[in-house]
Amino acid sequence: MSVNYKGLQALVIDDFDSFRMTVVKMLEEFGCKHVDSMMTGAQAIKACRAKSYDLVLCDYNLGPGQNGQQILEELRVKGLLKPAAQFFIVSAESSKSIVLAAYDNEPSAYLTKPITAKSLKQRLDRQLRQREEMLPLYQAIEAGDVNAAITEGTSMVRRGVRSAPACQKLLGNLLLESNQLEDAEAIFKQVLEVRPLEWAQVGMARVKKARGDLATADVWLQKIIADSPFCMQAYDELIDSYQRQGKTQEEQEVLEAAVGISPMSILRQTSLAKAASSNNDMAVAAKSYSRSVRLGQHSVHDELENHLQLGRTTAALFSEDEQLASDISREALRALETAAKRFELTAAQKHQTTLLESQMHAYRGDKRRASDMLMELQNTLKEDEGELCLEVQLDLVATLQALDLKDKAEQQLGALIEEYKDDQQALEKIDALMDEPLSELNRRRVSKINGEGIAHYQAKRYQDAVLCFKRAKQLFPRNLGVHLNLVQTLVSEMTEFGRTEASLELCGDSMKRFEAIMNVNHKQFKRFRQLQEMVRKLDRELKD
Amino acid sequence: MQKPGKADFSLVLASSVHDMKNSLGMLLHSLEIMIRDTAVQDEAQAKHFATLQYEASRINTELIQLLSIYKMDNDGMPLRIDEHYVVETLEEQVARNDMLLETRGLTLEIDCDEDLPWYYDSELVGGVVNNILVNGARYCKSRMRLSASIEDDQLVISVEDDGGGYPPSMLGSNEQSFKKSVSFTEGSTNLGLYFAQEVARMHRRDDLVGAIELANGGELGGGLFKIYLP
Repeated sequence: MSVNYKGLQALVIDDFDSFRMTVVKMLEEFGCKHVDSMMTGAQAIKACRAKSYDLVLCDYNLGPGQNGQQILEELRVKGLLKPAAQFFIVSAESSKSIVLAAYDNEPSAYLTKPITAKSLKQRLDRQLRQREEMLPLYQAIEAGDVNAAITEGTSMVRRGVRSAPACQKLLGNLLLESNQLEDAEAIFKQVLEVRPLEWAQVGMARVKKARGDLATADVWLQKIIADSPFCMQAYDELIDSYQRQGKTQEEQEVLEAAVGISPMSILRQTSLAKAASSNNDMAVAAKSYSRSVRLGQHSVHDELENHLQLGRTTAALFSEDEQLASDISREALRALETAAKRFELTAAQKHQTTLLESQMHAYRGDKRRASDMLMELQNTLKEDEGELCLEVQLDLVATLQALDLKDKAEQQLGALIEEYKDDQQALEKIDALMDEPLSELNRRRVSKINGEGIAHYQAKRYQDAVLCFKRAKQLFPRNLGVHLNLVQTLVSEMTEFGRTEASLELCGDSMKRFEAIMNVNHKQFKRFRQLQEMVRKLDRELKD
Repeated sequence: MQKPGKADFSLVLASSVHDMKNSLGMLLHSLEIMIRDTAVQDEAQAKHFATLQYEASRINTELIQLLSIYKMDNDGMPLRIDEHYVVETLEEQVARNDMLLETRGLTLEIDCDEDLPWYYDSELVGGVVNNILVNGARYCKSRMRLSASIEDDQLVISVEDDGGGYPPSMLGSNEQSFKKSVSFTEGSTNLGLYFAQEVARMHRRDDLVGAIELANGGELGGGLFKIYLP
């Protein structure tokens, strides 16, 4: 079967004149009558908006703007490629991270340079023959008629057409998406009877997930990842499953593994940043937000929230790891400055970037600049009278804290708590700035994990108890009770099994944190002093 | 001060190989345009073009192979097993070497069922076949043959030629394994076979592990390379 190039609408994207012209010429020699060519991502996306292409050949490295993978990503997100369209990435790059990131957006093929006319024709022929055969299936999908597509695909697989393997894959997806789980399962089982192919294994796990059996799906997905550590889809499914179960710690771990293997995926970087930030792991959160802002420079997935969160997590990091925070803060400042150029900011968003910039300057030691920015903002706020939304107010409190204006911060916070006392969702957000959680959700979280820890402690399972309290400390770093529970467990463990330097250091950190605010009137004063005495004694004995 | 370790040097090597490969890509591309746009004046000129083309693609193949081995050793090589039509993988390698075959005046036949599907990583296996093909083109007289079939529930791809065959020291390699040893007398043949062997071994099913085999004779009387993929 020869391939008909004549009727195809083709597009070639390459910034190098000679390459572009050669590829155009090749396509014309194959019989193409309609070949457009573009030099940059912006031009290419405009062209795809104006016209629906059947065949796109896109160079990976296009100079300063978007690369080939980012163009494909944007076209997919904006729905500018028909289901039948064939998109080829042509690249001299064969490094793992680039190839894996490109595969996330499912190009028809990733061709490595140099390409010759003969080899290009061979690859295109093969892909276009498959496209021609599958055209009825694609057209049904494009028309939104999923059932017709399923009927067509099922019949093609049954007839054993040449593109049957590709049809099976597509059919499995369609059945899953339209929730026809038994048929989907049948397809995947049929494939797996012959070979343990990754996509069918992932398909089986997706069926399990759709049926609500997340526990089994998790086990299967973990096994796929152990056997094929480059199967990114398995990571994504597992991450999604953990997220739905609220297993944020596990979610973060899988995301870290996935990002380690494929570091150039902006969506996973952003998800990791979010998960780490809800786990209060500010070092990972700030680092991941800074990577996702960097990857976002030419990506359709760049979002204002990533820029703002980079500022917030970096500010929070200053109290944990000043050196690291200071390194990242430079990038955070840049990200906040570029936010205004990249996005159309509302008044509230402008206030937020200013507040966060002010925080960065304050923590970097430039208090004057920080307070000038704050004052200027407060003057503008006075003039336009409008109500400030919760998010801006929270950033304002954090800025007051950054500038050591403790009384003002307390006052502002008190007003916020009063204003939102009946709004649980708002209280959850406010909790980030509080010593004791206010929202029911976070209260439950802290009391649950504290309760588990105390149960372990009473049964003298000190190591398990330490793990619980450490996790509680991570989530609620300002909570005195959690810190004292941790110290008490460590002290008991050391008294029974011997002292270690690491445990003593942990105790010391927790005690130091609250020393300044402790006084005789505090309701935990007595307990605090007792523990402090015990830690000091252990410390002296170790040093002797 | 500690001296830079072996691993550091291999990283430097890998990144410079990567750069060389990119430059060479440009070179090969310009060469193809030049040859296409230049009318052939005489036989001597045509021969020069052929040599340029052949040597440049040989370097390119070699560099790609070096990089692949580096990635394999550093755990950075994703294996993508999927169902492919074997004939397409073979045709792709022939198309890649079209100019080489033409300028050397070689005929190449493919003997493979159009509808034979199998499960393997087409990039890696394609790379192996390409290597053997480019090497064979250098040692054969005028004919080469690519074939594929199923033997004992394994895919066997054979590359044979009508040249002088493999030296006796390399034969009987069912038991022997190919090391990365660099032998200046044998050129880089060993490296190519090491790559082939490693790619074969990455393909497994149940207890079966892929393998390569060398022999002389075959249908064309020269070297015969076989890769078994379970």
